[in-house]
Amino acid sequence: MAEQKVLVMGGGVAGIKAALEEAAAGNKVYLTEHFPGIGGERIPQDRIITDGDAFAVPDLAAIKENDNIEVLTNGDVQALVGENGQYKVKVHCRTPRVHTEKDNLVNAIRVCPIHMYDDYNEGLEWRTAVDFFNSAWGGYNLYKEDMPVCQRTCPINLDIRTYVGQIADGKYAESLATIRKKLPFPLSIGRVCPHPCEGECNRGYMDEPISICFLKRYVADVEINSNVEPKIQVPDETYPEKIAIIGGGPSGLTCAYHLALLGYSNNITVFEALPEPGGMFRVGIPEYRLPKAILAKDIEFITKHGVEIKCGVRIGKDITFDDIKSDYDAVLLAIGAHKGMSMRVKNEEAEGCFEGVKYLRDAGLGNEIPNKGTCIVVGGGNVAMDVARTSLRVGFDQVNLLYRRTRKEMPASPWEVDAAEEEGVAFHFLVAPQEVVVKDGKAVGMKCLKMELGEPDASGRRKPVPIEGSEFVMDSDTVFAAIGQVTDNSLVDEKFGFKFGRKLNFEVNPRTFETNVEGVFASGDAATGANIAVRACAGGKTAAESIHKYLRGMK
Amino acid sequence: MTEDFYPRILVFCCNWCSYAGADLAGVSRIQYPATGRIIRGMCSGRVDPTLIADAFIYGADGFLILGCHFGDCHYIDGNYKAQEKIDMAHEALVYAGLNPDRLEFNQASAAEGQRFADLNTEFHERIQKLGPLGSADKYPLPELTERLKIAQKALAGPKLRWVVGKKSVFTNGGNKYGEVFTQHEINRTLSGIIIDEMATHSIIAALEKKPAAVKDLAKELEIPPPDTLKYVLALNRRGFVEMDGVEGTSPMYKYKGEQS
Amino acid sequence: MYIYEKKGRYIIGFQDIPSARAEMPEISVKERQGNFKEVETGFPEDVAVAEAKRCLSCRRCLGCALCWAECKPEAIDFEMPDEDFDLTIDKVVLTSGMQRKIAPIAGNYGNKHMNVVTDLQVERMLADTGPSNGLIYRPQDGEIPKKIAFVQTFGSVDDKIRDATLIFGINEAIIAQKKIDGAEISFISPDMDALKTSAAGSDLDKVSGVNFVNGTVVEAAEAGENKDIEVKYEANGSEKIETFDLVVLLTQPQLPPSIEDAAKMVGVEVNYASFLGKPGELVETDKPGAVLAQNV
Repeated sequence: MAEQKVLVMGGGVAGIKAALEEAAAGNKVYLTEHFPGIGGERIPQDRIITDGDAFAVPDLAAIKENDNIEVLTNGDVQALVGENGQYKVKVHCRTPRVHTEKDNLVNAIRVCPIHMYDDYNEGLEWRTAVDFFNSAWGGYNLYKEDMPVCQRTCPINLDIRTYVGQIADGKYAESLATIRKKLPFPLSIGRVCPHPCEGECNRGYMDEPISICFLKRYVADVEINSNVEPKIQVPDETYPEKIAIIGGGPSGLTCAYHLALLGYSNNITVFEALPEPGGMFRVGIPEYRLPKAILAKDIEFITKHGVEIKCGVRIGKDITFDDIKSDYDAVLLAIGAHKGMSMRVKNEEAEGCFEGVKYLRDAGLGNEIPNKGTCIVVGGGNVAMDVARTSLRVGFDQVNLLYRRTRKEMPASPWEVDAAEEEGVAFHFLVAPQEVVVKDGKAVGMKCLKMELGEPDASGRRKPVPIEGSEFVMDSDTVFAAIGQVTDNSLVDEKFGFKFGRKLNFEVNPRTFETNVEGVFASGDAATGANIAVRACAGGKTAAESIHKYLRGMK
Repeated sequence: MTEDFYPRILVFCCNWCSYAGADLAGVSRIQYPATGRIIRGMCSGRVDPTLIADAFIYGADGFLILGCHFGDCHYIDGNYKAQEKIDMAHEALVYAGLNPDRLEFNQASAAEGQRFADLNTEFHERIQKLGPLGSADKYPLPELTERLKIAQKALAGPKLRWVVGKKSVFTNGGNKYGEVFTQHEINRTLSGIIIDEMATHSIIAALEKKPAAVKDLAKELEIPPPDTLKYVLALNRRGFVEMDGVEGTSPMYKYKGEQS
Repeated sequence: MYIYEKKGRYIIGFQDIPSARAEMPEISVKERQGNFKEVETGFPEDVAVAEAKRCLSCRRCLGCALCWAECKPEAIDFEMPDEDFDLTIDKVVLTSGMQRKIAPIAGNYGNKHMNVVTDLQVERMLADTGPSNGLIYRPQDGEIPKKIAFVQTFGSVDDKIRDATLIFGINEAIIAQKKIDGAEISFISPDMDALKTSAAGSDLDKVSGVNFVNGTVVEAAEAGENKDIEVKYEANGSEKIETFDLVVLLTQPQLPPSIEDAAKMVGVEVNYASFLGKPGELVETDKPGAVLAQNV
């Protein structure tokens, strides 16, 4: 039989054994291992040790000697595609930064000034930055992590360590510039971000995490308080291609900003259906969390980069998607998720029942909204908190919030829940809506069912189970459903053949945010389903990079 | 402190500015306490961190280092280097238990005889208030000296010296990967290395005397036992210590020496 | 604690720890009524700078090049690039790797205590290439433990996975028992009886010196100055409390994401159990050219 090429994934005992067997059969073997070293003896798990043969020891010497085995340590298989009985494989090997053959590095290990966690030994001891993993294999490497943990957690990978350090040094303008390298919304994100970074902050393990989000707000506020005009720097030479961005929210505007920085300044048009730009920043987040005047500053900063925003233009009504697609070289769909999900209870369409997001939108745009009597808010997310806190402010006497699990399981940020409670929102946990009670065609209350928590479900949260016979009616003049949002994708015709996900979002390549239609990209909530603002911004940034690559014909 | 305490103060003056300032103070007959013993060197940048530790190990009650004003250095940036090194030595010595007020870096030019006298008077009064070495510090004397010796070893080692030398490179140009550090970050980095080095060198010093178990080392050195264990294992991995049998339930570790 | 280091983190206990995080000033609830005034008013400058100074500026490799200076010329190359290989292969061999589910271990097993370790950590300790040259020790103080409890932490899983994990733990117990003079080792698992009757557990009678308990752990807590672990467990319908020097948690194995991804790309369905059953052999899958290397 002719020589075959074999890929062995994993440099454990089994992998090494397989590699040696394949090589002995005359095959060429590639052995990939995620760690910088392979091997290490293992305790068997198939038989109880009854003799002296305690460990399964891999034959590392044989691997080293065998010319037919190529060991790719630090390597990850990135793509594996089957084709005519063969596989095309892409292996990415992170650099070890060390030429072991030139020196044995013992001295380097002795002088390295830092200690770090040792993955290979499960954290039992420390390793230095330049070190080996498995002493039996050698395999020295100089390990440098790409980003600190906060930056890695941030969806848009803000260089938190640097901008916080610059604040500590008193260099506020530099700090803001660091943020704006990636994020054009420091004022807004600094106010509304639920800061996943702080949850991961290393200091959180020692005492309390750094207040990363509010520090961002601080430097951004310094600029407007001191009336400094932000510097606008766009490349002098611009590319001729025209780009249409549908949706002037966090994602669309971030994409526009990055496209301007990449050299498409003055060729970017943002179409916004609402009379004002800002998307969910403007119509989803209430004024008391993010004042409109503050948001306007962020948007002004973006438009100064040569971004045109056309407000009050709804695609499909004022202009068709076909026109946009033929007039522009690339299109980004960043239309967000502005359609409330249905509660799936009886009489939901009765007068006096509203979608939470629509209510917030009307409140944000200054339209007329109900504001008298008592109301019920159904849901436990941040939108539900916003609806509840807004209704208190517009004049409802009593705001009841229903959630079918307990406070612990609420997806809303805990500080939002606390604030809502302080302001007087009445929380009713373990209560699920059953039916809107209607009188003369108008909602007058909600029939509810009490719940208890059962076994954990697939998401790890304990599933609420109804208690039989526990129905009760809660009186209310108005009912708000705030149980999630989906994308209103009716602006694109079926003929384009877009693929949609579960939340009616556009299905995209998660790395490039390309849709299945050429030249059309989608990002933000429209691609990911309702999510946090900074993730939408991150999507916009990545989409900008992909659009640039697409327009420049780069792969 | 009592009036009759006569502190022993070292004053380092650089040849070009502060020593000339001292000279001017002298010829102008300005009165200032005579407790300071002046050492003349070419530049404050030449004051080695280990020498600062030496001063206190040999019993000085205070150490005042005077250089040129920033921008006036005869060697262009000697006093910036001095600032960086003295800051680091200060942090290490304070970590070892020295009162932070016992070490100061300041500037006086050749034309500032009065300033030179004032700085001396101020420093003298401060030290007189603190009292002799070991009285206003974290530990009393023989113990403090032992700890300062550990700090000196840490300061003599390559790690701190190398990183402090890179301070301005890191904050301006960036490190080998081109990453620029903030001032805050480089300070954190140095503090971290000082903490590590102090623990490591105190463990080595204890093991040099006699082999010991981790449990006893931790008690003696007042480092939490889990951290002591990690430090000992790290030294083992780097080839500085090795296991030397087991006594009861305690593995004993001994020092192997500098050469592997 | 002074240096925090669990779950992949190394955090230096700087001297300004602990210090409280800055609180965001807010307008009072009364001021918020009936208007949309911004609730949070922002940090004043001194608070912001103090808060920023709390940042630990985590960075491990400093890029200081001290190692580079200490080595022979060019032994360390900071500019060495990552490498990409495009290969065409006829056959892909998948292995199970060694990864454990850490997160779902319930808090009552006490995995935040120093003297509670995982089975993988004990394997590293026992190995000659490990940190302590084959010595088993307590992470709290480096002492050699005399009383050790092995505890199963996962509930019902595939029988094959359960047996493999229990046997892995039993083998550790056997090696530890050989290495430590006068060791008293307990092995607590709710599936002990089930293992005894299965084929995999046929050699269980030959094991001496390990006390097998068919029971469930209720709670493990730190006790006393030495931070020993007090284990409360249920066996034969009664509750017992015993103090151990070291507790070893048997954790549930899982496939690393890289293998799961690769399997998905090849188009075979695998889980950890697919790699158990025929130790050391290569097992064909229903996709041509895709082979599973079975664990030993």
